Amino acid sequence: MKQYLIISILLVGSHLTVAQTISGQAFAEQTVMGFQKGYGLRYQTSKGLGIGVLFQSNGKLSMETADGNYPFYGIETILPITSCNNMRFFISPKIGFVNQDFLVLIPQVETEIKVTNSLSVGITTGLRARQSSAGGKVILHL
Amino acid sequence: MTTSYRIFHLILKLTIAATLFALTSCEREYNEPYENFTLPEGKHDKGIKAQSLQSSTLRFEAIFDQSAIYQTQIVENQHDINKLLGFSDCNSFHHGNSARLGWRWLDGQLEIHAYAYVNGERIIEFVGTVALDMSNSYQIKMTDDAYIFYLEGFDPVEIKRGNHCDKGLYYMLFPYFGGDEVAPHDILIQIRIDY
Repeated sequence: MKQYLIISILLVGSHLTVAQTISGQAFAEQTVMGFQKGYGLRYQTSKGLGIGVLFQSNGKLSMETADGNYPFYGIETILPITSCNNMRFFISPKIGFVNQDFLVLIPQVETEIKVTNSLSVGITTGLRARQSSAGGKVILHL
Repeated sequence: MTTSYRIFHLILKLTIAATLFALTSCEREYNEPYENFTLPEGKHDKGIKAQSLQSSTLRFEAIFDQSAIYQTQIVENQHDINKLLGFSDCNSFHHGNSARLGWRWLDGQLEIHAYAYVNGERIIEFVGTVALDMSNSYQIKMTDDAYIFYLEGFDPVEIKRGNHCDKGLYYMLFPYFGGDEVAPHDILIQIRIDY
């Protein structure tokens, strides 16, 4: 119920704001801990500056807490570097908790390619536990 | 071509190159190559490495080679414990609360020790011995009230945990020579962390 309420508020909020975007994203990422899938919500200004919340985990997209799934709950900040035509580049570090208790910082850069007004795709590269990670995402602008 | 366009193309190329590099190095889960840690002659370590622990169990494989044989300048320092791998406990500095596996070359063999700080008190316990040029499995498991140190082929060693914090930063601690003295020559340790 709470999730529906939050999503409803975000949807309504996105229509009330001007030149700001709320986006939902689904992504997959190859990390040193294995292949992870995740989803999240982000809020961005017209200049691309933003913040988001996200969840990612190995295996099924569930709230499993098994250590081996390395579930990550956290926030991301989105800092624009540059843009050109339908492409935008961001620094998008993530900070949050892995396996409930373990605070981690994940440096990441992201390239977003706008496909339509409401749909973008992105590629990410980052560092997880001092090893490179890479992923792709689909971003739906609400 | 404007400067901004050049910058844009440079960033685009770098991003694509980094992505391709990362994607082509993805077959690493459970088969991660060993990482070389060199303790340089005349130093304790090679510098700071920033990494945080990601679960309550730290598992890794390590290989010591012939460079692990050393003689300290002061005889008593031969008993000092060098550090292999471990972590600081939740939101603690490592001299407050931490758990590491340590090692030393003594009496012609390479000894492995549990090395922990519990509320500022240093606790060291013998775990076992390992052969040179052989890969061995190590593990430090953190429970609510203990650190448990494992070395394959030996009984686990348990040290009571003093920190009751759960959620926070647990920073990892990497190979370090000493003790009081610095490495008498380059020492190579190969480590692979298992996730």
